[in-house]
Amino acid sequence: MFSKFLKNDLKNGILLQWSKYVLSFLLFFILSLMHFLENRIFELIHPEYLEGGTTVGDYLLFIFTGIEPHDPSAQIPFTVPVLWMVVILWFLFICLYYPYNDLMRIGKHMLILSGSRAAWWFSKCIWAIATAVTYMLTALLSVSLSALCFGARLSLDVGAYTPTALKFAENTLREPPWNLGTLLVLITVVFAALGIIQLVLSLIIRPLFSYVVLCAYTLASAYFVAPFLIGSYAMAKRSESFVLGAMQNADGFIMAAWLILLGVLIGWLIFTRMDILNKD
Amino acid sequence: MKNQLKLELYKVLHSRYFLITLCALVLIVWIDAAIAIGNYQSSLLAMEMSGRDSAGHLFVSPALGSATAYNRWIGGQIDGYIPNLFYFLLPVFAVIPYAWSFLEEAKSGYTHNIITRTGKRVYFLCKYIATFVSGVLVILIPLVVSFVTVLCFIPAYMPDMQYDLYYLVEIKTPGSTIFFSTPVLYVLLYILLASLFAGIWATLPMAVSFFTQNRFVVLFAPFIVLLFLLHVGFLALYYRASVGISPLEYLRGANPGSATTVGIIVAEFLSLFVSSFAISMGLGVKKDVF
Repeated sequence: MFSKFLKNDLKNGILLQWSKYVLSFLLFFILSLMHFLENRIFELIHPEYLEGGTTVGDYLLFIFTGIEPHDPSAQIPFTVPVLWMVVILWFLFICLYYPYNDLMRIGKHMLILSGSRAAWWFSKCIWAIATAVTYMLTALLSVSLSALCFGARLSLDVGAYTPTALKFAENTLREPPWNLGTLLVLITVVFAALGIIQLVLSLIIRPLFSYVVLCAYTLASAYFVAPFLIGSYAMAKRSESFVLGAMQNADGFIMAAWLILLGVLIGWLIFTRMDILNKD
Repeated sequence: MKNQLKLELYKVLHSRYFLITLCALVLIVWIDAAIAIGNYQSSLLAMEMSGRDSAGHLFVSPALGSATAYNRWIGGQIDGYIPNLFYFLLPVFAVIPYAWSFLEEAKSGYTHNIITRTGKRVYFLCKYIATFVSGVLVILIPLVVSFVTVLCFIPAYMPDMQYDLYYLVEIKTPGSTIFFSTPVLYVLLYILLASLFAGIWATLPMAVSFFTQNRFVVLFAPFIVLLFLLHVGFLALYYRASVGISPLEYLRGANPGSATTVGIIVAEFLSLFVSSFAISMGLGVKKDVF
């Protein structure tokens, strides 16, 4: 029974939602184009940048740069990392509608006929994780293709000048080579955790308000630095892969895994007791 | 038309979503005000603890005048999580109360019943006005509450030019001369500006409803598109002109970022209004509802 739910969710929740992934592909393509144009300007000021060439890793780093931890005492106003927020908010938007729509329509009938709430719930959790993986794969594919079109090499190595171009603080920047691969996997896990949190919240306070709460949570992750604000782990400027003394990737994996596990369990407990027939 | 408008406004003010959003925003601004008042009280306490001179007078901190009610309300602060949250998510808060109502009524068939009685033009115009009013009120009331709360506890010192670094109201900020001459008017103008933007933004989902039936796309897609376009615009202008185009920045009373101009504000507001009004009324009147 569970496998039927899962097959249904993967088909209807991912395959048949192909238009959202096409839009995601376009989004990352345009972001890559923006980085390409910025590079042209940076090269005018730093001609030595031309020597190394660019890589796919450079483009990925641009998208997931984020911002440094904000220090209120430094009297520097907080600047919202709009680009980073767009990438996360778009992902949250993609995985907002499907579970609610399924519960209101055919999912309700499937639940009643199957007699198993657990199967529906766990299937949705796996769907959320699969959505995160699909989103990141779409991003990787789009960025790789666009970077190749713009003359970059197919490599996850980050160029020596790229952190300088992206305004990383030079006094805390790690010596190259930088490990972008682990950061990308961590970002995928963080996205999965955010998807699960949104899934649980949408049961409690409706999808509309759950999206607003997750927007506020994402902004809090940008403003504060705390282990439970897992958005911070999805920023290169706050990752130990690039910055000395920054947030540890291992901590990010553990925290995201804990949030996924807690979210799945809490959601299961709530869903088994929820009135689904009168829900609107 | 009067009766239809009264009915729509009644539905706005008694909508569950409107009340929940309004209560949440008022709570948010109260928390921000409490933090601002607490910080001000702490600075006063620190001043008292610093001792007195031989005549028994307190040593007055020269920075005391930098904290005034006019830069401690939510729109006068540039730092702090809550002010950033409020203004960053302002487009989202504006649409939650009533922007979805046309879509829901069209799906339920309520629109058919009303249009047969009032006509399409009256229905869509009243719906547009009510949606606009919902956006205005849900932002106006919390901003006024924030300013009034702060006024109750923090003195309304006249802004002093020597502390302009603390106010973050620079010469390039629209209305900056008013800030140093009539600060109350400055604050009221920026409250009205934010409310007007919220009202116009709330009518966008009504226009988007003609193209999709998905409530979440109608409500949130314009916001994500706005963020994306603002970032692209910022990058496009970064190396060419130091001008700010983001409403999420210039709606605040304090803005240390790139200067914006009255022309940009008017152009953006007009383009949003014209597009949402033209689509809502144009397609609404022309399209067959059955």
